[in-house]
Amino acid sequence: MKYDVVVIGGGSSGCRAAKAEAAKGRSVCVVSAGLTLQATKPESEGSVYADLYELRKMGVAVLRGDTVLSGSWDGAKLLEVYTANGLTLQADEFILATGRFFSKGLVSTMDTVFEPVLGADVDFPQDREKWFNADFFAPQPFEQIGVRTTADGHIFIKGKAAQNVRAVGKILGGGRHAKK
Amino acid sequence: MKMKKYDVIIVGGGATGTCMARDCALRGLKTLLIEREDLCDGASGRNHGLLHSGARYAVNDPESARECIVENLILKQIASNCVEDTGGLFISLPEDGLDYQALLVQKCAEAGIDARIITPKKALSLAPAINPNIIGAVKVPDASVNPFLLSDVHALDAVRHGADIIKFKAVTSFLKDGDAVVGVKTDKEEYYASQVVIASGIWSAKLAEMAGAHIDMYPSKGALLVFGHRVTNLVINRCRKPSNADILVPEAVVSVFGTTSDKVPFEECDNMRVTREEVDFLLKEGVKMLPSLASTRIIRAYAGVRPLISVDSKSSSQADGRSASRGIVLLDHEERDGVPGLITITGGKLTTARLMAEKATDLVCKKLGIDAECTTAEIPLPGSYLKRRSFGAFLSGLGAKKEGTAASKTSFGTKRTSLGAQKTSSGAKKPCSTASLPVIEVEKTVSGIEKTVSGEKKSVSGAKKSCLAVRSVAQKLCFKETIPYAGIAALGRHGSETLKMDFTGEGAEIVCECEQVTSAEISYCVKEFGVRNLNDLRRHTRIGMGTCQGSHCIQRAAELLAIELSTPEKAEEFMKDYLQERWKGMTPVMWGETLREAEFMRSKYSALLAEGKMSAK
Repeated sequence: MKYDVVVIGGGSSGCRAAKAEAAKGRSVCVVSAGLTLQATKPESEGSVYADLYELRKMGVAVLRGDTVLSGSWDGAKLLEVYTANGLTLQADEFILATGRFFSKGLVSTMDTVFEPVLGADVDFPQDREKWFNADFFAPQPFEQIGVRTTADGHIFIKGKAAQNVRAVGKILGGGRHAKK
Repeated sequence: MKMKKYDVIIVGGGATGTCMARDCALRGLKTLLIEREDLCDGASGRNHGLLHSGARYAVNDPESARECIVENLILKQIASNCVEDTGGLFISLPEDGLDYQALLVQKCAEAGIDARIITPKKALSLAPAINPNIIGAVKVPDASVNPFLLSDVHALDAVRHGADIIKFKAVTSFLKDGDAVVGVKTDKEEYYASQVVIASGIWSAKLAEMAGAHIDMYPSKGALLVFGHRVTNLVINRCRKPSNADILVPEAVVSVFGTTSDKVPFEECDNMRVTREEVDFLLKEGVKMLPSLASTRIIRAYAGVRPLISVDSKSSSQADGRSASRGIVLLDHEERDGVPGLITITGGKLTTARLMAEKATDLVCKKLGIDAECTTAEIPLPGSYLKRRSFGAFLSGLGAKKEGTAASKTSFGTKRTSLGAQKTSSGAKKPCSTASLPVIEVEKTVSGIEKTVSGEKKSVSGAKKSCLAVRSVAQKLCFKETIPYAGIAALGRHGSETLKMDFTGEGAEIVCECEQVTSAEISYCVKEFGVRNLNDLRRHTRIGMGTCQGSHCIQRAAELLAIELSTPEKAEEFMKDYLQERWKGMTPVMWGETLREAEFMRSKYSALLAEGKMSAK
């Protein structure tokens, strides 16, 4: 399957990015792990439901209940990605919108943080004692952890900027959102 | 300033203090217990939750081992709802060899502990999560105990027998008449007593100093990790000389692994945090015994302080607390320091708290010239019922209660345990004073206990039969529609006290899913235990102690509690305090699934509480 853009992650940031791309007239596919999301008429503006409803109206392909597991590269160019349901999705451009820890866009162990789908470089404090603030209500350092990006939002793989993969949403780390 | 006079004042509401309050009250003493925080705020609520069989001490400390096995068997009987009779294993890893196992089994036999060698294959079938490379295993009667509830029921029984308990009030000074201690002072009030007993764990040193006596104590920090499910259903010990990080205890829906033992300064005792090094060490050692711990979610870490005491000056310089005695220390400050009216009971362990209380109360009675025998080993605690095959008496008791007949005159409360019956037949003492307590008549005598207690032949075979699964009783009760299914977890925790909970209407609504805490249980605890906030409520119910650490339930719980306490404006404060307390335990293990939970908790509550949306509602 070949699209202009494949969006990995169907949360609010992924849906927003997909809408923006579709509005430019490009063919878009969104891979969303969530099975429970229903593309019915939205009850409130700005909800994920609203996003999915609009995406469907715009002709965006939404693969619900599927997850991107990995991809294959030609140098700094991502060629295609592979999903849990066995699909191969090719695209000129990819958007990584898998969120932070809760949505498993980032995975942490005792001593490291990594991005599990494409292996994007992640900036994080080496000492895990510095991942949190002892005060629950204070801003938490782990909310600042995210993938490293170029000025225009392209991710890095082993220190090299990827040509055609951007990151959007929480996976960017706190406060840094993709420039529109 | 008000003035009140008691026979005995106990300072400290931990395991020992509450056991002692009960003992004193049962012996007819006018008793006051003062605790600066909630019950079990110190080490009594920050321990392994292990009801020792004594096997761990059998080799090094036979006296403690004997005390443990006797108390183990007693608690399984008198506090059946607080104890889960899991059984325990001592497993030998290849690097441990089998020499210690042989010694352990021999010493256990000498102490009267039923320790049996089983094959590694059999051990693996009982606990599939243990290291498959073990070369040996010994089965022992270890068990899991809910330390919060154990103190709760002791306190409850003390109050029901006339004791006064004052919580959330610190003793600020001692009242003296010359050298003698004649009472204690809190910020506003004075309480007088013939005897004052310090039962304050590590804080005893400071209190004794305040009263003009001196105890050489040192705090030994024990750090523990809570794993997100029951990795095994048995207590797992490592079969080697007692050392750090070698015991896993299944407790309710989680497992607790530990411990460490490091000397810490007194200043740290009031606020202990588990360090990165402690977590790394515990995990590294734990994986050797139970490989799956490497991939099991750790939900939090906590630490308590052992009140180790230096009987001679040499041991105080020891950095390692393992070699210090864990024995019971009863100090008569009149003889020792020339301070009449003051006694300290310390050392010991959770398992032997009742015995510690007995010894201390004996001394109090001696000082007061009162001749009263200890009955705490025989009279079941509130909620405790014997889990025997036949629970007909229990059920007929329920029937009697439901129909409104005089319950106390039926089989409901007047039957005695075999221990009690033995006592009666030997011609001593008044009848069981816990009239409202449903006790199932024991068909067979619990021979193991009688023999051990009487000190003749030591065998534990009978005790094993005495504890049948609580679930079967629970199922029967549910059949009777006395307690709905929603109340099964409460029944497991509070035993027959569950009958006092009102499960009608909203009472049966589950508030905390992880630990299955219902609205009815919350109402009961607020009424019986003087709950101030969510952290207090947690100790009595286990609310928010499961895998989600409260992130799903605390809003419901806070609102419910605030309404129950008639202070609806406090719901937000309850949540804030609770979240902060949970956070403290989560941060030392904040990676993997716990970091996911943390992010969820933050996104759910930080904005909600920061903007005060709740109070606006």
